[in-house]
Amino acid sequence: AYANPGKQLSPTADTTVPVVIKPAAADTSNKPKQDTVKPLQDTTTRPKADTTAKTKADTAARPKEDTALILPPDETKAKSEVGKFTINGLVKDDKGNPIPGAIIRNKTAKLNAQSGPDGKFTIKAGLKDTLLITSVTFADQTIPIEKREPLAVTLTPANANKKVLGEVVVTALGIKKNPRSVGYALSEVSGNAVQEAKEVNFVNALTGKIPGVQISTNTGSMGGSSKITIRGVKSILGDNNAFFVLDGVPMMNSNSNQGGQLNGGGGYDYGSPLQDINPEDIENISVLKGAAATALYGSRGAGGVLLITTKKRPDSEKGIGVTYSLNAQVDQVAILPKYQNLYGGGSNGKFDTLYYKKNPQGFLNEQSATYDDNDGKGRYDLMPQYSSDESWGPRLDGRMVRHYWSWDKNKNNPYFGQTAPWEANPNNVKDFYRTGFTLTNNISMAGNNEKGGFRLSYGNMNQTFVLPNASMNRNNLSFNGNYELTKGVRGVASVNYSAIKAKARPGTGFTGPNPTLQFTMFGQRQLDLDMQKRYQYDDGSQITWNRKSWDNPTVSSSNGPYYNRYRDYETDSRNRLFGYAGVDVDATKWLSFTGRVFMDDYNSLEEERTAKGYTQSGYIKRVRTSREMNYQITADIKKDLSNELQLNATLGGNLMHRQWTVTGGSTQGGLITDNVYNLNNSISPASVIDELYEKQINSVFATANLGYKNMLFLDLTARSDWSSALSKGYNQYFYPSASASFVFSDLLKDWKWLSFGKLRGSMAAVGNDTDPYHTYRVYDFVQPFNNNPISQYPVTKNIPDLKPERTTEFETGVELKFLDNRVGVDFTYYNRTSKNQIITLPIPGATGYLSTYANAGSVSNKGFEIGLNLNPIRLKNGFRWDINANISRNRNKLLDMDVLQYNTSLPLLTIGSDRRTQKVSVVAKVGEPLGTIMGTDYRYDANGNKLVGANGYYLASAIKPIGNAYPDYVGGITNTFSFKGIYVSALIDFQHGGNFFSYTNLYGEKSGLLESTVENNIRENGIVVPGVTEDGRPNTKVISAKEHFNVNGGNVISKANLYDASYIYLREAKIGYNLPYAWYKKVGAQSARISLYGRNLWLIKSNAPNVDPSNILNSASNIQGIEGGALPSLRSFGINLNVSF
Amino acid sequence: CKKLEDINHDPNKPTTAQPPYLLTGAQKGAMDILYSGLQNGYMGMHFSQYWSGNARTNDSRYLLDEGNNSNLWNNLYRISLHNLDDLIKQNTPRLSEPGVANQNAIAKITQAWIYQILADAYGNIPYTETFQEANITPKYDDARTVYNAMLDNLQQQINVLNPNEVSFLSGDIIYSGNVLKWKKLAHSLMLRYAIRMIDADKDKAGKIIEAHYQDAFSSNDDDAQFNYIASAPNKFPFNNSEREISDFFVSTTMVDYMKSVSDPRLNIYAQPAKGDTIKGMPYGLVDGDKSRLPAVNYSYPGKQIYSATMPGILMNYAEVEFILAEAAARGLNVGDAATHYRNGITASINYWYKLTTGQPAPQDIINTYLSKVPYNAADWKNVIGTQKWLALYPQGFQSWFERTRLKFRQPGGQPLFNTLAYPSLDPTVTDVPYRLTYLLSEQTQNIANYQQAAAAIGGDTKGTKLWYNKF
Repeated sequence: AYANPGKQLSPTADTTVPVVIKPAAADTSNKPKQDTVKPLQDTTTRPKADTTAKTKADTAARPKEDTALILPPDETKAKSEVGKFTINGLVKDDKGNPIPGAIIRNKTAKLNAQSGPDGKFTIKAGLKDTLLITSVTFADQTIPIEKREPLAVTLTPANANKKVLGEVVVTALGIKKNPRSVGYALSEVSGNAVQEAKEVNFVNALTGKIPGVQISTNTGSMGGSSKITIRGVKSILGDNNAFFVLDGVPMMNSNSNQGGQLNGGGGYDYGSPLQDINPEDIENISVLKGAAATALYGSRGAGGVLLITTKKRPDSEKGIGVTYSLNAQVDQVAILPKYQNLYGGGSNGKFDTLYYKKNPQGFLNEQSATYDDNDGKGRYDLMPQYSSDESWGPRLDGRMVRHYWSWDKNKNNPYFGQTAPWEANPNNVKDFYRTGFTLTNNISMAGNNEKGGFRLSYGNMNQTFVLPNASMNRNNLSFNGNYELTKGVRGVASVNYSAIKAKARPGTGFTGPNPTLQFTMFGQRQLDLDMQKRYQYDDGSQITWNRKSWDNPTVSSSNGPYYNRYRDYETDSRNRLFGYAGVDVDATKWLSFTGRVFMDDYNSLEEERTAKGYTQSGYIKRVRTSREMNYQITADIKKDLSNELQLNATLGGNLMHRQWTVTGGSTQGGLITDNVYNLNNSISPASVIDELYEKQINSVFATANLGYKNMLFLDLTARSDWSSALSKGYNQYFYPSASASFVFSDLLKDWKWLSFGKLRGSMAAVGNDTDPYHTYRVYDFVQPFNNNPISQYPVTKNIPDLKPERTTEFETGVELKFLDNRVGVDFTYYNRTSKNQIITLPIPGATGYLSTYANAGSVSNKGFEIGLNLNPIRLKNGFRWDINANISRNRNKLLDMDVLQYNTSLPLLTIGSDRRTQKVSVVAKVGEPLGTIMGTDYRYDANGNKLVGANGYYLASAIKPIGNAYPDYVGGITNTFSFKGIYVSALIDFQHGGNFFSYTNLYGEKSGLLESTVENNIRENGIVVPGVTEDGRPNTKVISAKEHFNVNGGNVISKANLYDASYIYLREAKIGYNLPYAWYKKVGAQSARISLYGRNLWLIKSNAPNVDPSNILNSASNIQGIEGGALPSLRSFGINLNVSF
Repeated sequence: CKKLEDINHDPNKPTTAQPPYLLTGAQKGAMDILYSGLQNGYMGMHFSQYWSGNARTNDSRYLLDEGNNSNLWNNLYRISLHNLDDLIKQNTPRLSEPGVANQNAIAKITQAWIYQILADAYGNIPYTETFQEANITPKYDDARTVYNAMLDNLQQQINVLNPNEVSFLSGDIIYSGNVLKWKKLAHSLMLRYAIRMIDADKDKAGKIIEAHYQDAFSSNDDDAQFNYIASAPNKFPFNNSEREISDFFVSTTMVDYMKSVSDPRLNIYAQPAKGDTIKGMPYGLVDGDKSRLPAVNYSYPGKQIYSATMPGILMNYAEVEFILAEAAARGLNVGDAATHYRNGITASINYWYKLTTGQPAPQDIINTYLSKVPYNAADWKNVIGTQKWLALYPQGFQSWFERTRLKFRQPGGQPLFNTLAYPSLDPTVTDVPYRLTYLLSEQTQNIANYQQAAAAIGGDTKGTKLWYNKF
């Protein structure tokens, strides 16, 4: 059960409460006696509102007929009854207090009434009319009139105006279940969590809201990757990302980033294809964490599953309802490194000089030369060391110098010959980033009648990013509908189209297009941003500060930042079509069939441009296509075996076929003509990219759920897969699971303090296959030498006898609610072991390969998740304070590194190494957690003093474990206050533990850019590093600051730039207001709400300098803990308006 | 609808490779890594003090980028040696077919070239257990064992090579399948092996040199080199067509000595700095040093070295002559030391003139130069060592191996190589590394064999001398 404490209706109704994760502790104690309006057993159709009248007595009653599955509606209950009658009712809150002044509107008859001081009301209505009950600080309710009986309306005190879900949860394959019957941990999040305080990629808005789920991202990367890890890392080398299923459609979410991008090398982060989904279409997200919950998804669910249910129902009960929402957001760079502003560019603290007598062509005239030392050499100018890509230059003392922009007389440079002061420009990085702006519009229309319903939605997102020239836009169009073709036969269909376009994403990692490479890892501090905006002459040639010399304007090693933004930029786009079509047939009262075809098809275009600058010009083009089809048939059985024993079962089969391609090429030897980005514009013939992949998995599955007295449940599932990616004999694998739940509070009705209690437990085994084409030996094509073809082996060795990997998991948990639902706790413990993992095992080059596919390694993941709900205050006047908190801990361990195919055992496995120093690796070490960071440390004497060599440098240890990439605990706390239509909420999330190695700090110090390079007069006086020599005497040797950061930093001693990744973050704050009915009734609207929000507001606590430890992701790969030049994190503020007609 | 097991057929990649394709891959793979700026530039050319780093000076002080080190090892093994191994295995069942035996002999000679580079750069290396299907932890063999095996191998190939039969009709970029040239290269490589081990096993080395010297290279026409072409991606790896290269300055070590003897190759080896003068930079001078002048004051390496069509030299005639000069000086029966010495100098000067002008050098230029650097039997080590060092430019690795083997100075005994301008950043090295350290990845992927090898050579540091380093 997943309702918030104190709420009778499912909290999904509560769209104002930002923490939409349904807390684990749930309130099933207030179930209606009878679900007179039961949802269709159609996974595509939302259950109708569970809003039927209740009496006070109902609150203690347990539902009688609630079985695990939600039943089809009982048609006989809704016989039409013509004619109006007067209906009486009572409006009360969830504690039974009457609500005076509530507005009761008969939407069908267009009549209004108001409740009296005792909460009672009277209104005219007819059968099948719809009543809308609204009252400030309470969620609206829409009630269809089914019977000529008094109504008792219980309003949920949380200001929502959206529809109310019946109390069901969505489980694997979209099967809806009574939460009581679920024997494993499951979290639900309503769409509001991703709609109100928006992120372009909706996944990022889930940060800190779900126990056991860690979301890593990099907000500065514009649509970059998000890594969603559920219950820690299980697969040693897999990406461990959760699997996404939207209305039954498996959504491809593999990112297309290139290899080097993954471990801090250069590249573009094209992000997760998941961001194609329009957040406005999401009704509900169900998070399946453990193996028992995901077993029906087979291998693809190994990293956990996020089941997304889209909106289906209209906002009005009959006819057509229209909802419009508008969201405007500004983004600002929030966290930048602390730069020094005392010294400018250069390598050795000196200026270069240029004498008029020797080089008169470099001056306007002799008098314009600034200095004369009266030594007979004549007048001269001072010049910064342009070619030096670091800031170990002269002190910024205001002397007049010839800046880089004062040359190139032959290019008609108006600044030729001018001098300007050598002075600080402290904001030259901050001002480079502009204010980003994102505008999102969405309009949806939905309607239904007795035969069926539809929803049509169009959304548009336009983002101007904080980086110059960067923008992104997305259009979404979606339609879904269902219709009863004949009695017992219902057709369903859904079509979604998305088109996303991005321009000038920042590069990531150690690469030119990454602005931090120019501002933090290298660069000159004194540069004037306004002058840099002149990045090219009329002839297109670059003006860079990093020119080779005063009379040679070619780039030494760094393009100017604006040249990079406007001349070296990428564009990409993706068009995606996904949806399903199918038919549901009710064969008998207890047997029905469904057939579905699911499709997810996209094509994307990536174009990377390089203008002639530091390197030659070039162009890369990649067209990717992907199509996945799933054909699925199920038979559903629902039978009461006796009065107390119910059976629900599903049998089915699925065929998954996926085919994907990459085609395109890259120019060779540079572009023939500048600025023409076409593969034909290549000096040597362009090299070709041409790849095709295909994979199929055939599956059969079955699930059965037995319920006894709606109190004790047993759930069994089984699935078998046949994968095309494994060789015959190894390609079939089986997944059994069993789970049970026991609502023990049903037996303890005398314990008044216990509102609800449920025990659950599960066991499951799952398998996993691999990508296609790993099972036999092949050669690579290499571009021919002249006319001589070249063959060579690929880097990774294929082997024929790959076996499926196996995972077993045991999970148990308890849900408790106390003290009239004021305290709710949900606790889960799990223990998971993954064996025979299919990995790419790095092997010595002398084998002829650098890695081989193999089954190797066993990993155990143990951990717990706690969800906590508190309701410290709820007052009669409607004020309430809710706290939702979650914390989780995952401990993983590599149990062994036995390599099946090679009959050997290894002490550790390298997952990835940093690109530059190559000393820092993320490894899996037997007996230790995954994500161990290895690198060099200081050396210490017996007393713990750092050892220093005779030359005054620290001595470095051999490579050894120095940290771990993964946190000990993650979690979040949301506080919500609501009162009379206004609510305020704030989410704080945190991570405790974990380390990362930081290029920002390593290179920022080595290049003399960061504030730490001028502290304590280190540049003026040098430094004697604290430590002792090997013979035990204190170090007395002075070394220069530059030498210090060069040889005592992470370049030599990895530990010097290894930091704690813990943080506490004020992640989200919202203020929402349900506008009074009187304000919008004139425009014919039924409801309107407005909210203001902020995201990533305040990094409250962090132990890492110069970077935001929650924002260092390079890519969604498994190589974490290496920060390769993180982009700055963004802070966002927005306003959201939502109007329904 | 395809059957499930047919779906996993990879349509993107072939399952077969022709021997010529494998040979081209092996040759190009080795040359690309041996002449890359990152490997040759920052290691070979540094350790032989031809060049010194411009902005990046830690490498000059022996704090290397370990990625460069691992790429050197991995590319030689994974691409070149693996291709050759596959070629030989594929050919072995059909050795009776015409030309196949010659093909294998050529592949095995190519192996001998590469294994020696690995053994000289690292010491003990995997050899007997390489490229085995089921073994992912190949053991290291003693460097002396590798030397002996390769000398046997070369001798066998000399016997196998049959000039009356074809070999590679295509795919051999170095000699276009010319069997006689490969035979000469095999003899020459035996000389290279022998001279390097001469202080460790004089008897064996002496016998080899005496037995093979007459069949080795006899003119520049015999040179073994990989002729890169001007079109990407088949250009010389370190060329300035992609960008104007400014990573390295030539060092004062080379410039000052060449100036002192008016070496006619100086204008080819280096390009003029400001004021049309060639000026070297002291080896290892860091960019933060106050005495360092603006970059325009120092000379970059010569344009020919940056050219897209610069050949990748495997071995040239001049080197053979210097080997024989040294052998003669050591008393072996291979002719007159002074003659070989002069032949070597002449061959080198002609090589560079031919490469840059298309013509051999005018004789008077050679004569003038020979008179400035006369042979001196009493000082043979320094005289021959210095000239061989100049002739080996830009074969950074070979030159480095010779520097540490022979420990030569300037003729007359003045130090040739500079002491480091700034302290070494590798605590085990004060002067010059004797070897490269094993790959960091070997410490995790092949730990038992790594530890055994490290112990066997006397410690896995850059300061550990190789088995033949006797001085």
